[in-house]
Amino acid sequence: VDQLETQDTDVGRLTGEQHVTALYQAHALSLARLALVMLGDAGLAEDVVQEAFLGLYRRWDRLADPAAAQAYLRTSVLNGCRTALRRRARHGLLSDGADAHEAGFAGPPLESAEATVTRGEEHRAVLAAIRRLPTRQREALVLRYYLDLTEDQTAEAMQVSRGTVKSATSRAVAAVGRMLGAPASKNRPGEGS
Amino acid sequence: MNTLEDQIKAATRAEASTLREVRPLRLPPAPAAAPARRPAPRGPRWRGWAAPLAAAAVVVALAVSLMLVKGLSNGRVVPPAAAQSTSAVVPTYYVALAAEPGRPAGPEGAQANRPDQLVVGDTFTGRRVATIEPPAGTSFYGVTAAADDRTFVVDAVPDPVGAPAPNVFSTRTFYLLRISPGASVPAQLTRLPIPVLSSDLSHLAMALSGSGRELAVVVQDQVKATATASLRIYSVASGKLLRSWSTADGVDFSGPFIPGSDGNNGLSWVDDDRTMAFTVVSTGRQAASLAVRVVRMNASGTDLFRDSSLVWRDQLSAPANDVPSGPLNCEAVGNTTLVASGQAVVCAASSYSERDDRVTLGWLSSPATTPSVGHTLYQVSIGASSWLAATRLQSDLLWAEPSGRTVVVFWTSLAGGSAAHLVGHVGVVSGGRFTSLPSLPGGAYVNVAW
Repeated sequence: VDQLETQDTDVGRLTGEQHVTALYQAHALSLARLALVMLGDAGLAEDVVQEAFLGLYRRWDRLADPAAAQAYLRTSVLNGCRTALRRRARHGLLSDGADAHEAGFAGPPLESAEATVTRGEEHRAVLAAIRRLPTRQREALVLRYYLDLTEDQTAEAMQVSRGTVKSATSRAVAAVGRMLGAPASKNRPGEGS
Repeated sequence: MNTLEDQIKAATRAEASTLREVRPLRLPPAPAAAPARRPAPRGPRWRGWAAPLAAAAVVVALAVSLMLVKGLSNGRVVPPAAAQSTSAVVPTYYVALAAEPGRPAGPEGAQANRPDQLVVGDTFTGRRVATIEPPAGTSFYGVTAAADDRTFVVDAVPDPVGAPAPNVFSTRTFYLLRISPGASVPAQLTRLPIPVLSSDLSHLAMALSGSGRELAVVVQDQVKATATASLRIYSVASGKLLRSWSTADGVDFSGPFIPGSDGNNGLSWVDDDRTMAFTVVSTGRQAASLAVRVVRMNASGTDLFRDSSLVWRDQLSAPANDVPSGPLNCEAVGNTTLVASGQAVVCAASSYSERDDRVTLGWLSSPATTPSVGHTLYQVSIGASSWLAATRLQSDLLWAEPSGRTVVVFWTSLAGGSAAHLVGHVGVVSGGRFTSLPSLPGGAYVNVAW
């Protein structure tokens, strides 16, 4: 799993452009992968990441603490994913009887041939279930199990309480299990790990 | 760690590994000289810019939590009651944002479904009165209405072709829209002198006063280290900032309004425009509550919380680690509003009954003085073929008349009980009856104003 944590950098000797570029080189791929897991669309994931870095660049000189840039970027990417999902969900909602896939309600968009071959059937089913989760639950699940963040780190990234993270993660795992037809876990997510 | 969690880890990581490179970052030319860097903050570094995300998080979590249901079976949709005349109460015209018909999809991704036009429509016939294109290079983002059925304010965001979709951080430019149905020029758009809102601010909500003379805007600073949110009142005629209240540094402003919607359900003018009401979620480690506060335009001070007063509060019901159920309750900021008379709080709500596998969507009203004696204006019970289908059902509050007895609502059902086919319903609820209205322009229900 890609790590998004800060590496100590002498920000004082770099211009904003240089620093943002360095951050991009170091973290763009891992952030794009995070967005890809959230959205299921590589192109859209890259757009979200580009926008996050552009936002950081425009605000660089006014950023209270440049060392917080990576946390800023991660939350910006999550916000961008929410915006994309909202737009996807909103589209077509009033088109009576519209095809759900065209309207953006039927889970992931069409995949590339490479991705399809690479991914096993089991993975496909799990990913399809994850993408049917409400956005908040999906975020909690991805942050906890893809990025391996702790509950506290996830709470900080999502800007919710630890209890909300526990609740959302628990519901998400249970929902994925239901969609896959799997028996519910006896443990609450994260326990015993 | 159990097998299911292992599966989730493996699947997400396999998915991520399919992305092996990203395109180069394209930065714009260097900006002009920037102000001096701020000193290191005392509080959490992320709070300033992340607080609006917290608002989104709380609101979205609350909204979706009500939809968390499982194992629904196919079931009936309770049909709406017979129609009742409501044309004397509900404004004749609405303004909605709508996606441009035939806009190409494909590589432009998120742009393909971006709402960008304004549609002026007849509430009762569905007739399109006018369609207004946004100024070049921009997209319309939100709309709010005065009480005269003719005056609206819309905001626009930069939207260059090929750029990522605009969001709450995009700069805002405000326009006045006056409609004159039947005239040779049925709608006229005029830029307002209100200053363009910087992208350093998250633009959370706006509401035009009943008279159309003032525009209330809620913004949140995303650069400062502390979560400073402001309620600003602008003069529509002059653009002058008339009043401003902010949260104090250090106040955890977690949960007012729905970022990105630019709607005004969580923000309303009451008492002949002499008072502004705003809805807030107060979160805590153990419990959360939904509250409506009011601030009078002639109130002294500039502190949003100290100088406002609480008029209504309801405990949020969804317990942790449990499926929300039980009686309907107001749960979402964006769907809870104090009506213009100041006498009632109305909201959209939903709940799941595990006993009969049905989702109840409803609209509630309660006296502002006594939240505990609220009553249901209307409700509909829906079954679904699957858990997935049930999660997609929703209820929204689109408009409320000053007494709160008549509301315009939106809800979704499932065609044939299938999750693949959502059906949207727009209508008027009054006297315990639901009267269907013609469909709004496709995909634009979120941003519509009467």
